[in-house]
Amino acid sequence: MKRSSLQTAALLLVPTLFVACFFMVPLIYAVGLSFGLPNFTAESYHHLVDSPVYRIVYLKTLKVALITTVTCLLLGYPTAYFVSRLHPRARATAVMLIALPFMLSVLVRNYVWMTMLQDTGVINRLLMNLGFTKEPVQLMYNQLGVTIAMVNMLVPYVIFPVLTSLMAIPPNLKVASASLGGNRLSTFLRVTLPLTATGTAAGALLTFIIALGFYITPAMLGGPREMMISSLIAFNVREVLNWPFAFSLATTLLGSTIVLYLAYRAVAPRGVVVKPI
Amino acid sequence: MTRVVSPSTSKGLATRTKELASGQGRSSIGAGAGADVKVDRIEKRFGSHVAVQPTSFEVPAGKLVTLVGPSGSGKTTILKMIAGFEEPSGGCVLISGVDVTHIPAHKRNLGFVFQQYALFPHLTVAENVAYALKMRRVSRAEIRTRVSETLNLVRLDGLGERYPSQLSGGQQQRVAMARAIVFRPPLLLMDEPMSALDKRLRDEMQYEIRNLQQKLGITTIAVTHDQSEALVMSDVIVVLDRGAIEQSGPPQQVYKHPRSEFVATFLGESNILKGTVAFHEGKPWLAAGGVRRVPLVESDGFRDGDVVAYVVRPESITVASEKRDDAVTFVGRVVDTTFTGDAVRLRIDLGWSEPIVAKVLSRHGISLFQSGEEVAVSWSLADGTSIRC
Repeated sequence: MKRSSLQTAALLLVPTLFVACFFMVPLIYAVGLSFGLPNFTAESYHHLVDSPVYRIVYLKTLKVALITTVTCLLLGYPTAYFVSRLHPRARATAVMLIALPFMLSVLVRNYVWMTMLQDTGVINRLLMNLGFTKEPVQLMYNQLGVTIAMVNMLVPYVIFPVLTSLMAIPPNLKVASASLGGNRLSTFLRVTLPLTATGTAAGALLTFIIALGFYITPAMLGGPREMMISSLIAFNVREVLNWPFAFSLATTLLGSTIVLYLAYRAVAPRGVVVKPI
Repeated sequence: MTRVVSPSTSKGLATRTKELASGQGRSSIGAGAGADVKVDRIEKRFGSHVAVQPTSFEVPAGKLVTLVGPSGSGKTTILKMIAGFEEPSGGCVLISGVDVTHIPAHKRNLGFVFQQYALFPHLTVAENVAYALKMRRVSRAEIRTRVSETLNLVRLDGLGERYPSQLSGGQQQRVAMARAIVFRPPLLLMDEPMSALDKRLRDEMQYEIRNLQQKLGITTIAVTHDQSEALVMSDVIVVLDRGAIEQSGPPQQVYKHPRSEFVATFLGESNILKGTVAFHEGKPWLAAGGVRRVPLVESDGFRDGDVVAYVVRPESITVASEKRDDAVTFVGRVVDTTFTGDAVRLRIDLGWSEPIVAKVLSRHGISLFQSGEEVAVSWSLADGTSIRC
């Protein structure tokens, strides 16, 4: 049965209004403010481009996001592959375990990582007690600590889309590949990998975009040199009270995310139609 | 090619297995690429459930054998064990005399057509067909020639650049065929190859597959639950039920002389007249209700009192308005008539059995007989088969 378009419109009205009032309007206002609303001036952007500090922070942010994404892919894809081959009941448990950290507060998770990684933390004590090292190894207040915690928080964003696309592959395709002479490696490279490309790319993009905006983790686990763009925005909003400049940073971040998304759309593999069996 | 398929070659078993696996040493399409297959006491158990009881049969080189049976008869399991997708619980499979039972599927060099085709959705038709050749590291130029040759063979020229989702069911079926034969396997396996097609297309494809199979001389084992498909396509039919062979032989023979009630009812329509054997003047008769009804063939070795089912096909029955004296003849009354297009089905009550069904060719769709009419029913002795129960 087809719902009348009037009914559909009525149903969508409330969420649309909500998003418009409490998200779109402030966002547009923030972008406007970065251009010196009500007058138009690109002063904030000049400031951003001219000062090398911001460029460094910006590049640092991209670098951390990239390293995090690549690590998430390297850890997440094999995990998803393993989970996809489990017995359905074991798979359900595994999926729950992967999703479990989402139910913990981000703050709690960061504190957990701090107790793990600090000089007197679990890992360093273990290493020292076992005699691997005399001095504690610097695991946090640097890029390593930030990356470890970010990967931990973001890896499900790779696992779930990859798992979904793995599960969507008709099992017969692998058997077909074997019947045509494909061993396990070539079957993986020529059948499984291409058919999960869309899911993998979506997971990577999601991870990268979220990583770009990470704030609490770099602030808690990173050193002063690990400042990411979000920290800089917060600093300008709360400490310096230079809102136009803070918003110009935010707008730049939003802009690069949109550019990235469009680039992904342009090069993304064609959606593959798998006929239901 | 002969080096690979001939069991009499002096080559060592290991060498031949290797050739079989690598797909080398075969001639071009159309030059009798068939291997002979021997399935020896193969069986499959899942825990305490027996899917396939120890089963043996042979497929001569270049022949098409159909495994036919209802679902759960074990036919697909047998096919998968030949292909190497399932590990048998016992027994072995020999292809051209080489025991392949423990060779993994991807090294068996067999063509397999899947029930739902299992085409690679991310590859074009040409890439799908080229897949097996790429796995065998065939040169790019030769891949191109052989792919276009094979597409031509299955009448899909010009569709190489399409994706499977852009093709009709019949075209997908052809791609699946092309993909399975392009590397000239000595054996082609087909699992319900036409179950996803509508009836008209299925009839067409049956002939096409049969033609192709004969043209290539490729040994083929097909699985189907469709008895008419089995009858049309096969050199040999193997009828399976509950994990065991009920009967095997050429289609005509199995159809005409079913050895069990199951085969009689599964392959086509049958009238089954039940009774006991009674001897009269030294000759066996089928008796029902204490009266001798049908003379039986003496050579079947009946004994007095044997319980038998007498099978006669509806199309073997002649219906006339007057009694004839050259065959088994009864008088009966027409219960009802059904028009089926090419024929009229009459149900006739003989008074001593279930109403028997006769199939009479119709002229202009008009039945020559009406319900309630008294008719003479007859068939020749050679058209009846008796099965001891």
